[in-house]
Amino acid sequence: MITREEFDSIAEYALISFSEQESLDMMKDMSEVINFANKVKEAHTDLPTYKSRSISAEELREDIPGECTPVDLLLSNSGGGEDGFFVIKRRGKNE
Amino acid sequence: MSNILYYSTLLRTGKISSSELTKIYLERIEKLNPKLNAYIKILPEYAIAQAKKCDEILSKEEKVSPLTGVPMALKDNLSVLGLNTTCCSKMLENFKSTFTATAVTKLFDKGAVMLGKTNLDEFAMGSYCNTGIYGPARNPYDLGKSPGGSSGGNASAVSAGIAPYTLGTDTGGSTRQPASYCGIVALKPTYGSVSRYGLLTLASSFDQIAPMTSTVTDCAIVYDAICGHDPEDMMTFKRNYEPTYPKLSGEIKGLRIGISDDFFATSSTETNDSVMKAVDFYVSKGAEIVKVKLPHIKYALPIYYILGCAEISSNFGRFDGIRYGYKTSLPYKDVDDMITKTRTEGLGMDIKRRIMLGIYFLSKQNYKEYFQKASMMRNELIGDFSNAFNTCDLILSPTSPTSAVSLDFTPETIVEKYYADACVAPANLCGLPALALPCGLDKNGMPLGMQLMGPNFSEGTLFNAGYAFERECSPELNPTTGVNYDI
Repeated sequence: MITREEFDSIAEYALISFSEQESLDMMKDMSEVINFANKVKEAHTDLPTYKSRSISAEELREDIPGECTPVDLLLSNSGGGEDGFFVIKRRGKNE
Repeated sequence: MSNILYYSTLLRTGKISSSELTKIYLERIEKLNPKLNAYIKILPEYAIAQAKKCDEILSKEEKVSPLTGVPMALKDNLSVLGLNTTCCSKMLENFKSTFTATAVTKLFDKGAVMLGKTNLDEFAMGSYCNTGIYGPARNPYDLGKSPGGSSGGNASAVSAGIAPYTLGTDTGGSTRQPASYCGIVALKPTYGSVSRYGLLTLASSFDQIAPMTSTVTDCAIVYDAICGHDPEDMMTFKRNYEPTYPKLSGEIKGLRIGISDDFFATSSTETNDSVMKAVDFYVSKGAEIVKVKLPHIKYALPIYYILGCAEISSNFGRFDGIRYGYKTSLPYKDVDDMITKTRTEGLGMDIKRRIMLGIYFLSKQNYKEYFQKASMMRNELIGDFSNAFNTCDLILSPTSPTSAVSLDFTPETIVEKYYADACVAPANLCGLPALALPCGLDKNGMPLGMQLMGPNFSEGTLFNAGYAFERECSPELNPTTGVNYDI
């Protein structure tokens, strides 16, 4: 069962806020899933018994740097930016 | 009958032009999509412009791909330059893609014509195609039923005859389960055989772009077109990808088909009976049935949800309203406050739940007993399948435990929903290819599906086995809302 303290801490890391009812519903759902996930604790895996095949370096791409995406393209979905930078405008209560 | 080959023949012999064929499909979409909500964006001008280019190619060149001039649709989490890619989420409602996905570029290079973008669960998370901001898609066999998810729009469109084929995405069964619900074919390819570049990622080590078609032949044609190494996706393999379509023979004598009881334990009696009839068919054609054991398969779903949520929570850190996407219009006191409000308003509850769970499983105090343990267990499961494939060529199972559920189906617990993925999630966990195709109908006439899973890069074997079944045993599929592919 996830505690309220754990839940609030995770929500802070996630940068998501919940209403009181949403918090209660989410905690219930999370507890159910965590309980379901606890099944993995039954398995014994002190040492893995299967060694995955190693991937030959020939099979993956070479590490060749490519061209950077143009700045204006990067900014195109953010309202244009300013001087090549993304902008977060001040929007306080008194504005 | 292959719809792609049928249309290709008509186009190459001049019996119809790509522009005419595209217009026919646009008219069908106009008529049927209001009932199905399979498409969230129809692009008539884009499609006609592409079709006209194809007509020029068809008039000049003798050797063209079977895909040239044939219309298709794309799930709306696949990027196309200059077009909105929304993932059916408020977070990306106005996001314009700045490049085209490699798999899509490959289809466009072969002359595919894009009709529009299809409906999905928000960010491809879900099993019923009912969490997206554009409303639920509907099953052409029964408009009161779900087409499955998350690629429900794709499945609905192909099943109803308003898209000859589509590209979906499969992270935990999201093309195969809707294929089963809607009576169509879907292939989740070997992880690393199709580039993920341009797929808006959900869980990086699970995601694959997947063809969804009405026949196995069509699926093979589309897979052959989209597979291959891509420098933009470091996980794609450099190897010789032998075309699978030319080798379809239906000859399966001596094929060793593995059966694991675990896959049948959670399925309905009707589903199991239908799949066992397929087993009887394969035996009658000279295949050999082998019992296989997958000792760690009972952990597959918990492993999938631990690792999947962990990857999702990491990947979704990018949605902060700064570089792209939705941004809150409420006042905020600092950057963190802005991001929190943006994410709270922009993301649905299913997404938030997985992000929260992912952070829980990755947190310092829980990492070892959940994430690390699940990662080790994943390796063990890969070993189970590897051992099984020493004794068989492919494994046969149901795709979905039941036929399509009602649109207003609400599971009693959140976990009850997860059991629908019991047969499909293992293939994503282990990177294995898996082909879903219809194998029967339930007592209400709703499709039932079977799944063929094979070792890495065994798509050819899967297609051949699927083709053998389809040409002799395909159930009679008549969706109540749909049109024939014949024109």
